[in-house]
Amino acid sequence: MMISCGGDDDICESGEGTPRMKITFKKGNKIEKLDSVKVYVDYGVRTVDLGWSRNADSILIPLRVDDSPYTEFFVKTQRKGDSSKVRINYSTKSIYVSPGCGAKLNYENVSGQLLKSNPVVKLESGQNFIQNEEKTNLYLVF
Amino acid sequence: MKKKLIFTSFFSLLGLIVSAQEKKEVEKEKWKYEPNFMVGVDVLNTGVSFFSDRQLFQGFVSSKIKDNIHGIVEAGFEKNMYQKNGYDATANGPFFKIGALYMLAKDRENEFNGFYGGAKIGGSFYNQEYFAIPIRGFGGSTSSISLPASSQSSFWLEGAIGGRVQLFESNFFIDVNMQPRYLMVTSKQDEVVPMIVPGFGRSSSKFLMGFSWNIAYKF
Repeated sequence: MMISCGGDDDICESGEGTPRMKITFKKGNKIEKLDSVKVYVDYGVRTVDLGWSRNADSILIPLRVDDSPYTEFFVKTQRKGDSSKVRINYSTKSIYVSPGCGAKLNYENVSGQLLKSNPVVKLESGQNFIQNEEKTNLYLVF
Repeated sequence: MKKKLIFTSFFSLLGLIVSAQEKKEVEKEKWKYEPNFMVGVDVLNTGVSFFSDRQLFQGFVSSKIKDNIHGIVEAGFEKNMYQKNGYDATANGPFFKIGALYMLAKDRENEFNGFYGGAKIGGSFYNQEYFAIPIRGFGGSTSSISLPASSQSSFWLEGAIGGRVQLFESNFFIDVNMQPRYLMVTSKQDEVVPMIVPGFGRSSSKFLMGFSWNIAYKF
């Protein structure tokens, strides 16, 4: 018989898991805060509404961790407005973290593809790998 | 789980009955020295093995060395699996422990009866396979990585707090002890901390408590 003391339910500290992608908003040539922006992400199993962000110039999006080589998401800026569809292509690399977290993914060769424009006009690339959540990986130009 | 608890409490009760009877019969011949060996088998964990994923078979050989000091060698085999929080892993292999026990309090009529404390070092040489180590995602997206089967080893420090009681006037004893364990070193496959180590237990925490309930025979 074993009585385990604690450790078994090791929690995964936030920030130790798979990093999210940082997306920054631009209007024309410069970074600008959007009054409101809403993002939906298709995780394969289901599409998740990440909710409205108000007065934000950037947003963090968790990407898929399954075998899919891309994650698709939808962006809109007005409640009744059109949505743009964006596909993020990448390759992944798994890295062991700890007993509680298990492993995490880092993304490499990150690139965006605008599948449907309006309200997003075009995409500009940022840092093309994701190892932390500090630098912008993709710019959405409105 | 319920079966396991009933099984455990049965042994605890049996222990009480035996020790209660023990107190009544204190008229025995004086103990004479002879080369001594006590061999025991952990019947509790062997029994529990039938009801659980964890199969643990272990036994010990101990011998009085001098006065209150007994040397002890333990050996066993464990086969275990870990399926929790997205993990799916198995490990199996033999383990060994060596150490000494000190009789803290003993029966004047039979110096093998009594309570002891002690320390041991343990080592395990096992095969493990990690079928899944979770990659936790968002929005229902998850995946895992796996590791191929490999051989690993771990070493730990173990305390012993327990007691021995002679069964009536036979050469049989019941030995019950608790084993606080601290994992000292372990080999790692691709830096992955092992979740289970045969003979030690669940190793995601370095400290845990083991328990054994033995039937022993004194030669």
